[in-house]
Amino acid sequence: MNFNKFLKTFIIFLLVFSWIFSGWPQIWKKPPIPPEVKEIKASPDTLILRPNAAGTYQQWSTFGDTVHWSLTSDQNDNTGVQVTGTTTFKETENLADTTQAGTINSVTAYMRAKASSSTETYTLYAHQETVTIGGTSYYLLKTTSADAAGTTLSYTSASGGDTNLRKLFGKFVFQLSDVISIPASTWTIYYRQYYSIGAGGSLTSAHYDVDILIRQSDGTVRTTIATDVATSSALTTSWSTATGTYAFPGYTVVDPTDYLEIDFYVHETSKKVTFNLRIDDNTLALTDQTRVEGINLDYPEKAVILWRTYSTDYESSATTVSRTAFTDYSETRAVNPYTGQAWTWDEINNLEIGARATQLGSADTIQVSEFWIIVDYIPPTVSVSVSDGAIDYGIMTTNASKSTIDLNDMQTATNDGNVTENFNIKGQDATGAGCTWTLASTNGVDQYVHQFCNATDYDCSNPPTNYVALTTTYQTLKTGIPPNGTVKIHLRLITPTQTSCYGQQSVNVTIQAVQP
Amino acid sequence: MKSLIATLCTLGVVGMVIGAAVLGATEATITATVTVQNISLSVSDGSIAYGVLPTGYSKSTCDLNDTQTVTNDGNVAEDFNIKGQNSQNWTLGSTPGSEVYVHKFATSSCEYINWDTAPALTTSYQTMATNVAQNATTTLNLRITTPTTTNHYTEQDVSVTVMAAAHQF
Repeated sequence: MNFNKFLKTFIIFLLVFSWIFSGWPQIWKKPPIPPEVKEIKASPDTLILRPNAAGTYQQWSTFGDTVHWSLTSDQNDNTGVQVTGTTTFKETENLADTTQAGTINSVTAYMRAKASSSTETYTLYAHQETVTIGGTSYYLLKTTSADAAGTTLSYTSASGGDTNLRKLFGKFVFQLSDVISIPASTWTIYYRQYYSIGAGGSLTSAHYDVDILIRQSDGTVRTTIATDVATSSALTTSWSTATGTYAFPGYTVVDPTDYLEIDFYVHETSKKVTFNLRIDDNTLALTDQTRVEGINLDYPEKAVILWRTYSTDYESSATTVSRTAFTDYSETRAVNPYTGQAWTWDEINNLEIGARATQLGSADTIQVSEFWIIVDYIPPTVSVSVSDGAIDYGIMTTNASKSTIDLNDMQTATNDGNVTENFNIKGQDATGAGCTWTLASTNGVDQYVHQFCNATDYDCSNPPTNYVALTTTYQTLKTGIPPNGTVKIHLRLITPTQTSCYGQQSVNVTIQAVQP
Repeated sequence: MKSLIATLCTLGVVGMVIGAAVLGATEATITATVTVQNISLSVSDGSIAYGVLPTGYSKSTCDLNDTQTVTNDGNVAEDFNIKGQNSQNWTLGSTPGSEVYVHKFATSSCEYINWDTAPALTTSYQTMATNVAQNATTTLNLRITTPTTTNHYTEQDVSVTVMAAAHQF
């Protein structure tokens, strides 16, 4: 078979297959071929809602104007709300209400934000607490001052004398987690020290200095920045604070698990001299503590998206805000965090969206020009199905009644849509056997009765109690059926008192679903 | 071949469009059907002329080559019942007598009938056949025996009535 022939055959089979399963015309009614469509899925849609009123929190300031919600809904980056130097202030806005209906898949909250940063200068204090890196113990540098009784690190020069010896007193580290960079600045290192000369000893020269390097978390050195720098002023024989300075060139952090390491040395030529360096002594004034001043640490500015629902605040994880341009940040929630259930439209209408800075230098600012949400939902689908959807009353005598109880053939109508529905029901004049039976409330000559009973809400076991005559116009069967909810229906038919047609009559019943 | 493909394409597309359109339906139909019971029969040819007979004489539809056929014209299975009647001057009886005539029936073909044991009609209905399906037929043969004596020599109406009733399962 050549390719063209194969292609033609394939196309024919494909189209015949498509035709058969299109359902029209139906090939066989019972069982239905092709099978009935039992589930209806509509394409998702989205709805954007922006602020239109102040929320609970209006703690941020504004830029561009004064009304917080209008500034954050105008889709203009020149206006908005902002916060500087605090992580406690919150800002939320109310969103425009909507009358939209349907099943909500998810809600995504957006903030369009930008940060501005200024240099933050820190002092790192030498602490006696240690951390082990790559099997080696290191003292810690902290941004907080001494918090212990203190430790004195000492070294006594050799009795035979040291010559221009650098003796390590301690390695101190500060982890660079979340630090973007260490901008260039002049560091001043304060050494709390004194020395004493032993019997027969002598001091030719001595000072403290440091090595500066970046150590990786596995203990290896990433880079050495400086060696033998920040030479101290003259040492003393009683406790005093010597100082030395160093022009730090700046460093961009490669890995947030790295450490800034400052190793303290005494650099001396002496004999039998004991050098003492005091660290982590909280009895000392801050100005007397061993420390490094003037270190610039550049931390990113971070913020969270704030959701306020049911008077409860929920925050996204913190995100770093761009310093270069207003950028959209978002968080998607498939369910309401308060209920744990799918969002409702009432909850959307009561939702507040905002932000809080979670990491911000004292002079740093985060600006938000826009807040909005996008609701991803499935538009309302109104649909009903009836199972099994077929009743065969069979052959009856005239002026006789038969119900689906007799036939053990109760019908069940199901809300296949995704919104609450009302069900209506109607009958029809019977046709098909060459004559028409009029649907009526009492039977007569060529006049029949078809009744329904809502078996979900009423006792239908004793016809005609709770049975209502169908008409050719819709009557209410039941209201307020939730999605997937069902209504059980019994039907009862009374044949005409007299008729001239004895063929099969079609006495169909139609269930209509409407959205309230 | 090209026209066939084009036709199939068109039908496929139409089918798919209509198939998709029903997804949005807001109505569901319970298809229901009912048929009123019709009890009916007919007899063919429905007429027997026994002719002029002597007293105490028997003649059957077999003799007349006039076997009757009863048909279920209704729409359900039926039972057939049969009865005779007194004529103007004769009484219907089980044995012939003075002014008493006998009218027997049988649902067998002529060659299988034993008229001696065949039931005699009465003026009340008795079962002729049961569970006769729609459109099915039953053979009916009749035999009349004239009274042993009579003072009436005029034509007598000895009609037979067949009644249909819905068969009860």
